[in-house]
Amino acid sequence: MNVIEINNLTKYYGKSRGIIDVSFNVEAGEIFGFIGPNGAGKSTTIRTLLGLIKPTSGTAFIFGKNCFTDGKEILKDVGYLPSEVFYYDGMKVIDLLKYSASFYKKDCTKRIYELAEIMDLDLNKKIEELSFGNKKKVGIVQGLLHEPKLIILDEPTSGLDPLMQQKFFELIKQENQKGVTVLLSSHILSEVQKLCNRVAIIKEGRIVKIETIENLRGENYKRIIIETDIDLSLDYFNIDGVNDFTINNHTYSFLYKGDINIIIKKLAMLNIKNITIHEPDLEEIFMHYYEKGEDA
Amino acid sequence: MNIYLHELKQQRKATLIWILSLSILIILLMMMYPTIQQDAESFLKLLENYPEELRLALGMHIESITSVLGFSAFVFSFTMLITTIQAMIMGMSIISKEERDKTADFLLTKPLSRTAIIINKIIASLTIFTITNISIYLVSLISITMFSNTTFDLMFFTEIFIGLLLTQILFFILGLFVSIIMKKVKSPLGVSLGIVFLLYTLSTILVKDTDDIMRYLTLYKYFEPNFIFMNKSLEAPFIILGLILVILLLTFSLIIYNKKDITS
Repeated sequence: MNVIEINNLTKYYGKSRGIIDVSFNVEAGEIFGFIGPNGAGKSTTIRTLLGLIKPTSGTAFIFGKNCFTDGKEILKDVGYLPSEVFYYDGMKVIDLLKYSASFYKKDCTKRIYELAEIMDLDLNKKIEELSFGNKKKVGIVQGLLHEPKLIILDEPTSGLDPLMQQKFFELIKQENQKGVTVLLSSHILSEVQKLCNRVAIIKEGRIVKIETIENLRGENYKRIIIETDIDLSLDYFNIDGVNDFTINNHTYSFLYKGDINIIIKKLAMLNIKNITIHEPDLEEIFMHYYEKGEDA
Repeated sequence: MNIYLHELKQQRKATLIWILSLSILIILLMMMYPTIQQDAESFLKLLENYPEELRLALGMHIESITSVLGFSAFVFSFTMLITTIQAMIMGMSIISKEERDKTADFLLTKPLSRTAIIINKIIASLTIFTITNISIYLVSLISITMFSNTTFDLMFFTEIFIGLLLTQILFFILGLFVSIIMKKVKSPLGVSLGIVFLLYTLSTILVKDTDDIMRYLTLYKYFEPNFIFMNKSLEAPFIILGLILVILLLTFSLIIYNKKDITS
């Protein structure tokens, strides 16, 4: 079952691009990563799902309900953590959380205290006295206190120290084990890599790839680095599957995707001083998608 | 209900300050009345030296100003200018502040419709206006009784205050509408003051009499205290016209706000 279904979602702000033809589904119980650099359209997509922004065209469904007409119903079971959190000045943390809880027809008091305990949040401070990181913690508690079935996180870890990030990820994993679906947008690959089952990569408003983390990493990309004594002809590695080719003195480095035998035979013909072959981390693959240009 | 209470709490201090300053203004002006009453003739002579436009702009009508209710009408047309500023600022900011302070991401991702949010906020604002008006009504009653020894018609006095409240509602809804059609309201105070003073000036220049056709165009004169004094009551056509305006502006506001993009 799909918790989120997005079909050809397009948003223009006047003439400037927001997102173009974005389509993807998030299945029940998965942690779905949504990744791309700033300005690629991650927040626009998320805000459209939440009904904050009206799309130019396309459709979006959450829990099978229309995001643009049934927002009230959908939002009962959605927890949202915006990338920057802003709350009413002059309120204490606990008052803000109680105000937030008052919009849901259930008693959230116990959960508020539990979450505050986990995130190490002082409930009696005034919100304007909090640091950026602590405000973010308020946002996390605020987004989770009503035990939502879908959690939408927009750049969740910015401002949190590493220890808190760790606690936060554990919290999200726990929720996920209870059956909660998570959509997590980020430009930090390592956090997506740690948490997510699948990712959608967005670039300049368009989805360029939707893939499981395993496949993305294990798509048989190899990073091959060799050292030689002599100069090689530049064409030597000009074969299918070689990407991201760099030369530094006599060190040649490239990403290879394809039949391993072909490249091994190629390499065997050379007189090699040193060789390393390793699996690239997601960062490298990601950069590769971005550098490929328009046709990626 | 929770938005309503939250809004009242948020506005508590500001409302107290409005009530306090309005009360001080009313008491200070009313303190002048015993002198004016005693020295009515020389006061009127002094007034005649001023150009008529200035007198009208200040809400001073020679025929009535020396009577206790006439003087009150002058005081309250002045009060009206200030209560409309309160109403306009409230209307301009009640919705737009959520976007400006970026709390819209919080409020608009809660399970309720945008219409419900606006309605709750409107009811909270109406409560605040009612509290403000009842407070200054009592302050005025007390200060009139203290500073004048003549009796007066309480019913008519009450109608002036209903007029004040109705005018506030008109300006509040106007402010709400303007804030919603504007893309981003950076300074609700500036825009509010601009519109209020423009309308006030226009109303004093254009509307000289109760049957002036321009009266329909300037919200200020619908329930003007001096006109209530002259007619001895609120005028039904203007109540109906005001109601139509409120419904129209509110409907447009709701339609536009429901379609609006809330960007971060």
